[in-house]
Amino acid sequence: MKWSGIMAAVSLALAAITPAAAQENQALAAQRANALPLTAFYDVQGADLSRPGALVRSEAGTGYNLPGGVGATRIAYASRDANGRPVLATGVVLLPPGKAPAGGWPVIAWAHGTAGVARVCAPSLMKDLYYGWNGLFLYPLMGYAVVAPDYAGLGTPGPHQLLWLEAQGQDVVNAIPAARAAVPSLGARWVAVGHSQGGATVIKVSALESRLDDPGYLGAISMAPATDYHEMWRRIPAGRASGGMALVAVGIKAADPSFDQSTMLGPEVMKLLPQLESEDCFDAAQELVAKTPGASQPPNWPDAEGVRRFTQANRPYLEKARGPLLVLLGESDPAIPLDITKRAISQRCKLQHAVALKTYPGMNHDQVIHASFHTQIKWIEDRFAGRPAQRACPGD
Amino acid sequence: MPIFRYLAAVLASFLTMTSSVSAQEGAAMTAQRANALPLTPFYDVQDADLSRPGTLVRSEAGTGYNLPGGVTATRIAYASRNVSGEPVLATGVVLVPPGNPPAGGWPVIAWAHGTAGVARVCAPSLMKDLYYGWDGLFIYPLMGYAVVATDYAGLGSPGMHQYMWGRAQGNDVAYSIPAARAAVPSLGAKWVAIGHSQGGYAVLRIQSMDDQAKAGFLGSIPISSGAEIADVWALSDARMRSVGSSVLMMALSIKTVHRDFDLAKMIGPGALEKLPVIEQQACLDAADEAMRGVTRERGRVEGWMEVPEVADFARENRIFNEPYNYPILLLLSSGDEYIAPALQKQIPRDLCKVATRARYKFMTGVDHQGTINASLRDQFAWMADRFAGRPVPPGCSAMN
Repeated sequence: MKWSGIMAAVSLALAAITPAAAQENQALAAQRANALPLTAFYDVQGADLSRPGALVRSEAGTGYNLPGGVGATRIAYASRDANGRPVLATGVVLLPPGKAPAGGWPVIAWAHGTAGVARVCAPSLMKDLYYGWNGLFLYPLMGYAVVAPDYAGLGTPGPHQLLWLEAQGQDVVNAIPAARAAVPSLGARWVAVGHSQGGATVIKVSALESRLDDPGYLGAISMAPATDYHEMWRRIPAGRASGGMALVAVGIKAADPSFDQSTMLGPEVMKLLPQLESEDCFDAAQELVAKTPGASQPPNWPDAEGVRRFTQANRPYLEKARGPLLVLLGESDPAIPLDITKRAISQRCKLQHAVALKTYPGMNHDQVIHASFHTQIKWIEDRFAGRPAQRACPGD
Repeated sequence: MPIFRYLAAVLASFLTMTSSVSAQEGAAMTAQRANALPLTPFYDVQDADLSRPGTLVRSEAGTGYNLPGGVTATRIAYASRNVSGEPVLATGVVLVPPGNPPAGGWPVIAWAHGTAGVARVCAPSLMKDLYYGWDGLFIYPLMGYAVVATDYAGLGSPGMHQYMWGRAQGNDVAYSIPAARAAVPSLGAKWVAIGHSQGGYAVLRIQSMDDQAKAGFLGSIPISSGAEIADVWALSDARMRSVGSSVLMMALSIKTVHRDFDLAKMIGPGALEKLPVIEQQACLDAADEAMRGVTRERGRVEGWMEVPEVADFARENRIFNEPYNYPILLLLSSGDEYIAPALQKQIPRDLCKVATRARYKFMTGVDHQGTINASLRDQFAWMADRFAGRPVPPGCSAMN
């Protein structure tokens, strides 16, 4: 070890026992305790990405804290970004305990909420797969195989096009054939279930399926989805920036290189972006920005030109779609206003019959997953059984 | 981890060999404290009238738990009966699913936990994760079942826990149901009993209780359970290199019935000195931690299984010694580290000698604890049939 290395180690050790340790990002420490190593599995390695949905490679999913009897397989596959360009995406397939039924396991495509933008923020690089018992682990115990994409740029080389729903929607639909190639016990039929960013993603999936026409697609459950980004952001009190919005600025630029992030973020936040792009996932990003003095956003940033371009391009609730859609929302969700969601879903309701919105009094952004779990399982059972879906639209 | 660890001693010896430090307060005790809620007067008898078993003594909002979204908890204290039929106070928790109950009230699961320890602080309702957390327990309410989870008398409430006197725990489970319904009126009239490990014996004993105690009872699901105590001892004693805490827990439990029982006839000097901590403070993991390094020679007395009080305990608690005529679903795993392969074969044979409407199934690739979640779909399918009133064909056989 070189002398400078030893000095660095000594000063790190000192830092850990000085009062400055109180400044340490606690979320980042938790993130590191939950992390699995980013291996060559996640690199492109010259993979042929010409056919979206093609399996590039797979391996046993080790290192996860899974429920008893649940097995995991890691997959890497070809997908498409928001601009239609080939990208590598990764994810995990979870299998229920026991033997697959005739025809293979029924499949849930799981679309996760915002995890961050750095490569290390891939759920498949986390011991708890990011959502753990918050829904994710429950589905295989109920007899569903789960295909859980990371979204391109998380795990794989980035950047992650956070909230560009064409990109995340592609990552979901392309994960299905890739997962089936890796794990032959998966059946042909699937539903999409997503939360938050993933809730928005599965609304996009339902739109993509109107042209992809995969006969195996049976519908989507969208929990606490971001819908009208512009309207949501206009309600954020002016002034303080958040880690979440800083991540979004990175995401916008990832698909739109002409985007000027300084129209959305103040100078103190701009300085933090390299840390978010390389290391800090959602919770750590939130903590980092919250602890940064002077972290602000410019006035009227939701109306900045590049932001408007982005918000207008990501309104899948205005697009024609296929298959039943169930939207589930906690009435005490601070992130997703009820009235905005109702307005957005009622617009989808004009384009599609089998849409339903169900809200949960007193439940917040995460609690809605558990509070609606039984409803989700019954709805999914009905889709696989071929029963018609009910319509329950706002204002009907 | 909640486990019925007769064989823990075998494993503990490996741990001892690989660990160079044996601290007084180890990681398990630290974890126990981090998960603990305060033991309040709610758990004391006070001036409770315990004359009618199943009577609700008191209830309060169940706060401090790390529950799933939308699930609510109510703590209950109620009158139960010990193995001798004497009145005791028992406590527990009622978990209610998110949303509105169906017509007729929530279908109910009586949940019987596995070995937690014998000290008062080992009551699951005094743990933030209710001891089992996502191992089955939290999942039942998310699928629309109310859960009534007894602590068993002596855990939480005062008095030594009658560990592995299955009829005592059976009483605590069955009598928790009317008490829970008095505290939480949205519970329905029908219930099934699910028990893991120690709790598996409890849910079988309900089958032989009187009709009043069984009002609304639809059947039992014992999981990772059913080995006869004497058989387990016979297999494990010779292999022990150090003694696990469950031997001490049973010694203390035997003394609750045989009051003059001399513990020194069963457990050796190396274990005797650990009794106070296990009686008062250390729950299962911490108790096993405290027992590390207590060798077979110093932990138990040669011939302990033949001591009359000990032999009586094993005989009285033979689980398959009476007819079981209500539906049973027995769930085991070939990967269960605490039930030896010979016993895995024996349990279904014993079951089928006395059970008239029973099914059993072996999971694979999961351990003692993992059997709960790996068999959830079987549990839910079986319960749906019971609550729907579908009959169980007579007989006792393996299920696909």
